[in-house]
Amino acid sequence: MKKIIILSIFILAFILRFWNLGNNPPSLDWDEASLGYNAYSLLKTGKDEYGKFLPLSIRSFGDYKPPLYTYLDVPAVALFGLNEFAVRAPSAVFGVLEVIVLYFLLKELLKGEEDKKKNIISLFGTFFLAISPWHIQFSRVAFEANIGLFFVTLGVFFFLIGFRKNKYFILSSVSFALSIYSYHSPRLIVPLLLLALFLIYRKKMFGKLKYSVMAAVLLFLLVFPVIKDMTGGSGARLNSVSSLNPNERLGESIKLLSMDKEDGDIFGVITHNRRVVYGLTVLAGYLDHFNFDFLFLDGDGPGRHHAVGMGMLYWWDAVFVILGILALLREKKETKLTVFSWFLLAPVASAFTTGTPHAVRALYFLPVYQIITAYGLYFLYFLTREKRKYFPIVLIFLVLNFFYYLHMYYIHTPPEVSDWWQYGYKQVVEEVKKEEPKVDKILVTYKYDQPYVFFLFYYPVDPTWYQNNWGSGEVLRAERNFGKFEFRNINWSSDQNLKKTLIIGTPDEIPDQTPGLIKNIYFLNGQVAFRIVER
Amino acid sequence: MLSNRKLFKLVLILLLALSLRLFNFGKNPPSLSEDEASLGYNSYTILTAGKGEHGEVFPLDKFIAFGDYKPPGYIYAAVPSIAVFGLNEIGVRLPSLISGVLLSLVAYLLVIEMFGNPSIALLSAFLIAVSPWSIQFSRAAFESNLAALLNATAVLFFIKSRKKGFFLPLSVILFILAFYTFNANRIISPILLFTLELLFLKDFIKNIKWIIISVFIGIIMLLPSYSFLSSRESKVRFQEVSIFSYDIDKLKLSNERISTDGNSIIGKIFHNRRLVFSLDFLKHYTDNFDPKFLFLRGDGNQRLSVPGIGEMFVWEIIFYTIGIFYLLRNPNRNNLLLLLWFLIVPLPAGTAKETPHALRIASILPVPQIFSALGIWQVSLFIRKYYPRIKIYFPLLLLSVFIFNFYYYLHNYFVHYPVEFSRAWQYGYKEMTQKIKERENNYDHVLVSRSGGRSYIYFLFYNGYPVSDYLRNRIATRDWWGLWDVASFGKYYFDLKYRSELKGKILVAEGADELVSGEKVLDTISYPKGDPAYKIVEITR
Repeated sequence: MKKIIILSIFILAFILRFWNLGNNPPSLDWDEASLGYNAYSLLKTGKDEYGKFLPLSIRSFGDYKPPLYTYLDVPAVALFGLNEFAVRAPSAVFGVLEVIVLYFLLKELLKGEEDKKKNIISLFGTFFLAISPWHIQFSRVAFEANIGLFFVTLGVFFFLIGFRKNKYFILSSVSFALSIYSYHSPRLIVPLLLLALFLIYRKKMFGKLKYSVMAAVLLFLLVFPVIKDMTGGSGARLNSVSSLNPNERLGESIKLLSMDKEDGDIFGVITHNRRVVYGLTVLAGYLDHFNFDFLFLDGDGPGRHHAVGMGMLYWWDAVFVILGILALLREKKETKLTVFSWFLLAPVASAFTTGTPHAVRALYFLPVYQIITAYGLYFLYFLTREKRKYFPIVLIFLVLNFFYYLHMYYIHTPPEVSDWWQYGYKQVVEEVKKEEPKVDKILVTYKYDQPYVFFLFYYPVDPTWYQNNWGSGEVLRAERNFGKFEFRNINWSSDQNLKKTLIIGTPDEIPDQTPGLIKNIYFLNGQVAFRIVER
Repeated sequence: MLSNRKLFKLVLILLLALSLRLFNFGKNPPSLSEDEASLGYNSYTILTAGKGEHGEVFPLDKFIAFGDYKPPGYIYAAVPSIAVFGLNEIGVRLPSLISGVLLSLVAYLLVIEMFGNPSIALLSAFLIAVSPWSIQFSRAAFESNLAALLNATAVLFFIKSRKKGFFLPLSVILFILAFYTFNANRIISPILLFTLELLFLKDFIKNIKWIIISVFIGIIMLLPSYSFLSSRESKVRFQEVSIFSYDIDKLKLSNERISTDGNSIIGKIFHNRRLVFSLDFLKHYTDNFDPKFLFLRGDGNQRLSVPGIGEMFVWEIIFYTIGIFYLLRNPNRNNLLLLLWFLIVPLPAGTAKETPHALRIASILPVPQIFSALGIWQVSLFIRKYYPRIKIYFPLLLLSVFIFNFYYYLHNYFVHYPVEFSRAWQYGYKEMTQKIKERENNYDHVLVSRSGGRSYIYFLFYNGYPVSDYLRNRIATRDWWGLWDVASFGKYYFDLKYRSELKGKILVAEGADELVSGEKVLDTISYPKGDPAYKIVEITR
C-alpha cells in the first residue's frame, strides 16, 4: 500500500514537471537560451560560445554562470536537438529526483520514530514537494539553482546516512561539491550548512574521525578550482548583484557622518559606521524572505518566478508552517536543529544581493518548507484525534488550493507574463530566416536585451563559425554583432532610410502601418512585441 | 504584593519613561503638524467658548476640524493641559506624553495580572519606556497614542474584573473612550471586547450584575455616536483610505481572468471579487507584521518614525519570535488573549491602502514588547538551566547590545531627526506667524501661501484667535467630500491665487521657491538645516 502511494507521488511529480515542458513557460528566456546554445556549442566543438575549451564557468553574457547545468544539458541536446524541451529537461529530471531524495531523506531523519508518524510525515512531505508551486516553477525552466538544490539535498541525505555507512560521507562531499558547481547560492549556503551540521552532530562525528576528515579534505580539493576561479572573472557577477555596493548604500550615512564630524560628535561617528549600514542592509534583505506577501500572496518581483496570483507557497501553508514549527520544537534535538538551521540559512546568500526577496537565490528554502508543513499536518492530525471525521475537510481545502494553482499556472500565467519570458524571438527568427537572403543587413533592437543569443539558438548558428568571431578580450554587451546581424536600439528617424535592411524593433521604436512592415509579432496577451520591417 | 525593591525599580523605569519623553519636549519634533495644531485649536475653543472650531457646541460624536471629522477624545483630553500651559506645543502634546508614560505602568500591571512574574513585568515596562514606537508617538499629539493607553487599560481592567466585578464597567467605559479617541479603535474596541468575553466566558457570565450595569453604561455612551456613524461623512472618510472602494485595477484583472476562462463557473469561483479583495486585505493586514517594518525600517511616513529605525529594536526580533512561539506552545487563555490582541488590532489598518501603518496599529502596544520580554525571560531561563557557567554573560551581552542600539536611536532622534525631517513636520509656521504679527499692523492684507499645508490653522493656533471672531469673519467653503477650505479670516488670505484680487499694501508669506523676482523680501524663515523655507515679502497693488 505504502509503496503504491509513494510511487504515485513520484509519478505525479513526474507529470507535473514534464507535461507541456516546452510550452509552459511560454518561451525560453535569455539565460535558458544561452545555457542551451552553450551546451550545443560544447556538444559540437567541446568549447563554449567564446571558444574556450571545457570552461569552468560559462561566460555567457559576462555573468559567468556556474557550469554544471550546461554540461548536464549536453546529452539532452544530443538526444532531443536544440529546442525548449532539451534545454529544460535536466531541470525537470532533477526536479523529480529531488522529490525522490526527499522521501528517503525524511525516512532517515525520522528513523526510530513510530511507524504512523514516520509514514505521515515522509509521505506528506514528499507529496507537498511534488505539488509545490515553488519547486514546480523552477523544475520547469532551465535554472541552475534547481540542480544546486538537488545536490544540496542529496548531500544532506548522504551526510545523515554516513553515520550508519561510513562511505556515504565521501559521497556527501561529492554531492556538496557538485552543488557548488551548479549555482552561486550554495557557495555561501553549503559552507554554513556544513558548519551547522558539524556543530549539531559533532559528538557523533568525532566517533568517525577518519571518514569525517577524509570527506572534508575531499570536499576542499573538489571545490578548490571554484575558489581559485572566484577570485578571477566570475567574481564580477557577485559584485554586480551585491547589495553592498558602496555608492548606493552609503550616501545617506556619509551625509550624517559628516554632520557629526563637524559637530565633533565621536559617538555619532561610530553609529554611522559603514559596517553598521552594511549589517542592517543585509539583515533587511534577509528578513524580506519571511514576508507574508512574498511567501503566500504575490511572490517576488519577476514574473518568471511564480504563477500569477500566487505566492511561493500555498495559502494553507501559512497555517501549517506555524503548526509545523510548534511540532518540530517537540522533536529530538538533532532533528529539529538540522531542519531549523537549514531553514534559517536558506535565504542567507540572497540576503547579500539586491532585489530581495528573490525566489531563485532563496530556492534553498525547499524542501524545508515542505518538511515543516508535513510536520504541521501531522500535528493537526494528532490534535484532531478525537474528531477525526473533520480531518478530511482540511484535505478538501488543500485540493482546492492545488487546483487553483494549476488553473493559474496553466491558464492565466502564460498570457499575463509572456513578456517576462522574452516571448516572440522564436517567431521573429522564423520570419528572419525567410527574408534573410533578400537583405544585406539585419538590424535587431536591444530593447529586450541580449537578442543575439536567440538568433544563435533558433537558427542555430554553427558554433565553430561563431566562436571565430571573438578574440580573448572583453566583449561589450551591445557589440556582439555577427554576420549580417547588428544588435542595437533603433533610431527610427535615421534608420528608416536604410536600404536592403531588415529592421526588427519594438512598437515604441517603429510606428504602426509603416511601409515595408512584414509582420507584427505579438505577446500572448495580444500586445505587439516586435515589428519586422523590410527596407 | 510588591516588594520595596521591585517598587523602586518600577519607579525608576517610569522616571526613565518620563524623562525620555520630556527631554526637549515641544522642541523635538521640531514643529507642530497641521493635525496637532487643529487638535490644539479645537481644545482651545472648547476651553474658551465651549464650542469647536466650526461652532459645534460641546460635540460628543466628532469635531469637524478640517472636514476630516476628528474623534473628540484627544481634543477634550487636551483641554486641561491647554488651560494650564496655554495654547502652545506643550499644551497640545501633553496628553500624549502622559499616555506614553502610563502605558509603561499599564504594561507592568498587565503582565503581573497575567503571569504574576515581576521580572517579566518590569522588563515589559522597561521595553515600553525605551520603545522608539512609543517615544515617537508620546512626544507629539497623536490621538492614536491616547487610544492605545485607553485600550491597554481597558484590557487590564477586563482581566481584573474576573476577580472584582466593578472593573467590568470600567473596562467597558475605557473601551468606549478609546472608541471616541481614534478612528481605528471604533473597530478594534468592539472586536477586542467581544473576543475577551468569549475567551473568559466562564468567569464573565458569573458577573451578571456587573454585566447589566456595563451594558447599560455602554448603550448610553454609544448613543451620541449613532447619527454620525450612519452619516455620509463617516463613510466618505472610510472610503478615502480604504482598499475596498476604488481599487479598480484589481477588479479589472479579476474580470479579465473570468473572461479568459470563458465565463465558466470555475473562473467565476476562482476569480471571484470577494476572493480577490480578501487576498488584498490579507496582504495589507500582514504588511503590519512585516519584520522589516517592525525591526528595521519603521513607518514610511517621516512623522511616524525616525527613517532608518524600526518600530522596535533590531535585536528584539530574536526574543520577540521566541516569545510568540512560547505563547503558541502554551495556549492557555491568558496567552491566547495576548496573541488575539496582537492579531485583532491591525484589522482596521488592513482595510487601508497605506500599509504598514504604525499609527493605526498603535493599540497593539504593549503586546510586542511583552513578547520580547517573555522571549528574554525564556532565553535567560534556558541559559541558567543548561549553561549555568555563562549565565552572567547573557545579561551583560544583552545590555551592551541594547546600549549601543539605544544610543544609536537616541542619537538619530535627538541630533539628526529634527534637522533632517523638519519639513515633514511642516516646519516654519510658528516663526512665520510671529514675524507676520510684528508687521501686520502696517499692512492692509496678509497673504499666505498654502504650499506648506493648511496654513490657516497655524494663524488661529499661534494667535489664539477667538473663535467667535473667526466664525464671524471667515470665508470658508466645503466640498463634496466634506473637506473645508478656509480662504480667509480677518486680514488673512490663504492662497497665493488671491494675489491679483487684493488691493493695497500686502504682506505676503510664501514658500522660498514661490518667490516672484523683483519682490521686496523683508524676512526669511529657514529650516533648521539652513535652507530657506518661507520668504516674507511686501507688495503694493
